[in-house]
Amino acid sequence: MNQIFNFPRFIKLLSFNFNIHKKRYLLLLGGVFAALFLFQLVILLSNPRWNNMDWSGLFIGTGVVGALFYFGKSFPYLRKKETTIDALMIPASVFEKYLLEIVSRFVVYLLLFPVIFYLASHLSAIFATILSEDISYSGFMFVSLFDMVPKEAFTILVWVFAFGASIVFAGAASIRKYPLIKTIVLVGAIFMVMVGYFYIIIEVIDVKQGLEYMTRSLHGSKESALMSLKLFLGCSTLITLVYAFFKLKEREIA
Amino acid sequence: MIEIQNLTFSYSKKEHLFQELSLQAKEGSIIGLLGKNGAGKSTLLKLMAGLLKPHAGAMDILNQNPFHRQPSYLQQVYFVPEEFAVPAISINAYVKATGTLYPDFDYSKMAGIMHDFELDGAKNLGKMSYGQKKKFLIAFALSTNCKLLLLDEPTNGLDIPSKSLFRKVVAGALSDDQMVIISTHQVKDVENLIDRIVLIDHGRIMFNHSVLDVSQSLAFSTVSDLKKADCLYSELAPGGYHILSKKNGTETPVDIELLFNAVTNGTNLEIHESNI
Repeated sequence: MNQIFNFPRFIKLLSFNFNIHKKRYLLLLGGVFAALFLFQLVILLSNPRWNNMDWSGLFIGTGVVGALFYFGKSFPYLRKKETTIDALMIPASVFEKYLLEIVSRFVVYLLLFPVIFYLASHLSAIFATILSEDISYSGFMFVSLFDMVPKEAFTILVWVFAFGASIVFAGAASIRKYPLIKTIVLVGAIFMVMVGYFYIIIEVIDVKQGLEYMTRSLHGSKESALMSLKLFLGCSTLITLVYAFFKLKEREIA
Repeated sequence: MIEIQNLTFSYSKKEHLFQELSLQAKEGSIIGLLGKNGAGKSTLLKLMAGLLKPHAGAMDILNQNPFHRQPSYLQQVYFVPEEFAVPAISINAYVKATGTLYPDFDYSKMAGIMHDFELDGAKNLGKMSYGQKKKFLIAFALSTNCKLLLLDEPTNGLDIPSKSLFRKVVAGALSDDQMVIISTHQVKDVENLIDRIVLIDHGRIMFNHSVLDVSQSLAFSTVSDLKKADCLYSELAPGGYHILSKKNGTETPVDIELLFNAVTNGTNLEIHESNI
């Protein structure tokens, strides 16, 4: 039997996870739908000129915040010693347990959030139309997303989102208590240090021209610069995900 | 089955909990792992379960390194910790969901032990008392038919009838290729159940002998006058002294508590090893 990945064993693990947590998943699903519906209804009733572009902005905004919150709650069993023991002793490989988390967080969220948002938006549009009497609202349409963001910027945004998501995911794998808050504080601190560093270099030491020269030497064109950025984000995402895997693999009980 | 050589482990850099600890044990036995508070009984079980990584030394259990936590290892080792968490679902739902992960899980055995422990399968685990949850976990552990069962303070929280039931159930549910290690400081709870005594103190295994060897080498009795007795170790007791002496023909039941105190007080005990 393969000790790293065995498909029937993984299916058993998936089924085990679903059977144990199905009530929680259904409650979460219902809660998210209700919260989105009410939030959208309030927004629609207070904004009579709400249009497709606004829907796209709301979709991206709530989607990103919701994702960071949901991914930041990954590996929920690692928060308590007792549940950690339980999870680590389940007869499945570390990779299978890690993959389960990827599936139950990333895959499930990316599949379900658009559907829930779409349904909630249409339901809230119906209710808003009934409640406002003279205004007719329409729900969210996915095509408007591509009208809002240019294609090139869309790809970069997806990569930035993936990198951010992988960071909070890795934070959840490595930090026991309040991982989301601690990860945000840590990343924020690193960001501030970097901003401060470049501020000193560019504004105080005034090496702006030198930096510009270096950037132009490295990237002859805008496409090349964007490609480098995507490569950087892609590699960083991958490294962060690998880091999360090894944190789970080396997990010990204090 | 268990081969631990020169195991070193510590929680802090200053002080080692285990210093070159070695332990060998074969299948087909119920081992009582005894020691004072903080001696490292639970830690040793966690190391065996693969929940902690040894700092040095070699651990070979079921021909595997526990910390690799490979599925084939986890399918054969079940750990019942002292403090545990169970999901708020019914016993039946839990057994249905979790039993499939263990290839040798025996559903009829589970039903039998649950009957013995008077557990209702329809009852929600989240609404059960600590003792009931513990009985459920013990029943589940035995039903997995894992080769190695690690029970950390299993009788904590059990009422008096359940403690004797626990002994009966454990003794009746095991096969010859299994091993149970019971860590406890309540030695009376595991008397008449364990067939090997392992005492851990000061980071080392101080005593590792079968109960049979102990009973064939030592005698446990109570005397009123200590001067008349030729004892290896004695303790003041109501009406006289509990004494531990070399066996002089008559077989006496093993007083694990007295033996434990004798060993931890540094008494040199010569036990004849019988290869059992």
